[in-house]
Amino acid sequence: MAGWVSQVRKGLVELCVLAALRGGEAYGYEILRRLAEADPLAITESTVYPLLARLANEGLLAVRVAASPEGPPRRYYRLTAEGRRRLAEMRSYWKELDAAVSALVFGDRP
Amino acid sequence: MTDARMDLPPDVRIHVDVYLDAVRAAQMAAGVPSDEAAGIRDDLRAQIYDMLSARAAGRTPAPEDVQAVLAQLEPPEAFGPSGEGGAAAAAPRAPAPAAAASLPAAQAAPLPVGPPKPKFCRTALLGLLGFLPMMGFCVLLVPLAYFGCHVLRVGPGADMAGGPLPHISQMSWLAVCAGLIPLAGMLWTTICGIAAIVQIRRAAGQLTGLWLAVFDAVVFPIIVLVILVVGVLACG
Repeated sequence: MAGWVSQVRKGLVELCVLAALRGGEAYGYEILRRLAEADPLAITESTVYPLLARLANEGLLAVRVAASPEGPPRRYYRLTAEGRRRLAEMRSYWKELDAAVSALVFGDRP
Repeated sequence: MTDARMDLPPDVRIHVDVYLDAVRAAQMAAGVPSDEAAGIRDDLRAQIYDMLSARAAGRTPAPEDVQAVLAQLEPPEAFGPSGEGGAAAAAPRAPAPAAAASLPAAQAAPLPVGPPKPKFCRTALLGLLGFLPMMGFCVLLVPLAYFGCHVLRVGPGADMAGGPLPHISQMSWLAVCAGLIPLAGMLWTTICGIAAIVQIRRAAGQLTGLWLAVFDAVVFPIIVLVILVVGVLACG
């Protein structure tokens, strides 16, 4: 069971990170806290921060470094145009997938 | 960046540095590209300071505070080969008692211990190379002057030498060649200086040499400014 849960989470975390930035830019820890609200995902630092770095490298996120009142500078991430396109595609696919899987699993096919 | 880190007492900062150093070693073991790895550690450092700030609530954080904060984080090994997308990343957060030993775990691991040593900015050092053409120009100035005066018969003493005046293109060629070399060096040093300042400011305390970067960036503009002012004053 744990292996299956891990695989499902892995597939979803990229969508969740992009979705967390839909409302505007945020710094790493802020994104982590937003994602932590989705408790079953159990997303951690070692998942989110490397993913943010990878998405920035792929041009889906733009990074801005800004001073912080709490200490060292924070890296603020925001969606690029390419990132918004990717998020829209992923959301669209997720809707289809969710509907299809729910119908199969819970038998609520109309 | 650096001044913000100074806000933490050394006996508190050492715990943060040890943790981040262990993360860096785990990232190296995982083959994470260095720029990507540095960004991840910057995110982690900002998180630790945020958590410390929330925990200390206005007072200076104590070593117990930082230990409690680090205990809430994943062990550094989670950023290693089994990190992103691996079992460690996907696993639920470890319960507090197990994680409470995060600092000793980081120290017990076969990883370098101690605060990360900031590196000197290479770009600032590269900027010094721009001085070489300038020095070379100064060294060559004497033979060039000799060449101008005695071979091309340009400048002071040319009439006394009694030779014919050189063609204007020869003088232009000499002036352009002599001027381009130090100009290229000056531009190189200034550009490197500016780039180094940007790098150092973005490095969150991991790069040093700001003084050299500033020197690189301003030395030639200042020299040019001084020459211009002196020239204007002399002519005026």
